[in-house]
Amino acid sequence: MKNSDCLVSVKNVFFSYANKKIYRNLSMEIPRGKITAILGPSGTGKTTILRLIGAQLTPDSGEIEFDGVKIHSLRRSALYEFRKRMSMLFQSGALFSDMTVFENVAFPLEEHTKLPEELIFDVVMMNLEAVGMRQAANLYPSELSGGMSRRAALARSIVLDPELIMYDEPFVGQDPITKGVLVKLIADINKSLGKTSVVVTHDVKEILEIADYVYILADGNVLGQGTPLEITQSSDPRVKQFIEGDFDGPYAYTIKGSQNYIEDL
Amino acid sequence: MTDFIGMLGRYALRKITSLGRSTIIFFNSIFGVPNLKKAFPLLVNQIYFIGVQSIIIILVSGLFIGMVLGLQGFNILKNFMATGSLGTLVSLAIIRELGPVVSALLYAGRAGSALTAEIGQLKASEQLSAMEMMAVDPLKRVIAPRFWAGLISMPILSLLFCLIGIYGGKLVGVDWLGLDDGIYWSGMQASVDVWDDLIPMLIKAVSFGFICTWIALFNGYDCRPTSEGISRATTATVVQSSLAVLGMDFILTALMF
Repeated sequence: MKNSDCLVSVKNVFFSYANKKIYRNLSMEIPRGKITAILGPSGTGKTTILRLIGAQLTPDSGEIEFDGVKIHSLRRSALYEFRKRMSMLFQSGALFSDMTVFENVAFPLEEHTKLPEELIFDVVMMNLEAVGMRQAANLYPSELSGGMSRRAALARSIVLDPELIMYDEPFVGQDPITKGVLVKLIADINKSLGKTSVVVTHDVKEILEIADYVYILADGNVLGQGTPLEITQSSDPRVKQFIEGDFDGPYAYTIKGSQNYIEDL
Repeated sequence: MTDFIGMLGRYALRKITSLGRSTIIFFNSIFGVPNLKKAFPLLVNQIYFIGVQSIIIILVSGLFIGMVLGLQGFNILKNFMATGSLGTLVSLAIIRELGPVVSALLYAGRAGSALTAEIGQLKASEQLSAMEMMAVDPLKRVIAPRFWAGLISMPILSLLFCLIGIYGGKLVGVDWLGLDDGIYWSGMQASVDVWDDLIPMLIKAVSFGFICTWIALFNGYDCRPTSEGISRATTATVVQSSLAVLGMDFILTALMF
């Protein structure tokens, strides 16, 4: 991939957390304007890669570049300037509990722009309409369902028109209809606004429908990568096991060190 | 033996790291240039939450402590035929010691624990992370207004405590036990000095406000983002603040009086 085609480059990243090695020499590239899916078994550090890209975590070694800039070598103020170009949809939604949906979506605009109140009102309402939440503008997060929270948070994450949107497990705990709505929203936002999207998820079926490129992470590195077609046709038994959700395969469902069951008994 | 030394070393390193982290958080939060137009309403909100909502507990405690001091003082001074000094005793005891110390302990229990729990909850629900990813620095948006609000509220709360405490002493000494009104107030007037008593009281109050708010905010910001983590951090805030206030009170008293 040419440098100009790629918005985020992860180069030879090593990262440990609480003495546990999460990544060993991880390298990956996020293509500009596309939807990139990051899949993998639980505990492989899928969310961690989003936090590393957002510079909320710092790698032990290696580099992460956002649009050619090494994001971890920036000063605090420069980093905050850079973060205006990215946004993240958190698994929990992370809406501010003391603000209404409207205030939540208006928050980034009020913090970073000098737009008049009338214009902020219009922009917020347009974003809420885009995610089907205009009627819930005056509700507080505690009054929303999981799917509504996720959609309100999505409106908030696109309101500043960022170049990169990172989605952390957007479909977790959602009913099939809400899942479908979220899948469509992510695809629509990507297509109509030309954003670069990174989606971390376990929901293989849903994400393969809309992703342009897929990375499967396991054991601290990239297990497989390619277009959804390449991934589904992969002959690698580990990739197949994950994509098809097989119980039997190279990956055991028990954690390492659980083999001496009889001895333990 | 080596295990013990190793354990001691690790403990010391953990504490030094924690102190370093808290200092970085402190400097980043209060020395960042705030946008006054946005920061002022946040500060007013926090003064309301930290200061105004603590007034009731401060007033009630101050009144009772003043009344107890008036009663005990009157009974002891009676033995020496010196009940006329009740105004001096109550006012100096409250202004020099009880006012700033007790209001700081109450502040740590009421506002400090609430601050830690609030910040911890914001962290556990990823609201602080969300703010960071929206390019809004939580140290400036969340921590700084609370810190300044604590620093402003604490001396005012201490002053209120002193006022109501001295009045409580008067209620018991004058209105109940029959001491002359003029003797009580003139004793206070003659013995309390602005530079020797009131200014040191305010210095104590500001120092306690600083240390209690800093401890509360750091414990919340640095807590483990779980229910247990928040609960531990809240307890740590009350314990550490109380000990810090009492220790600092001794140092300030030794230096100023």
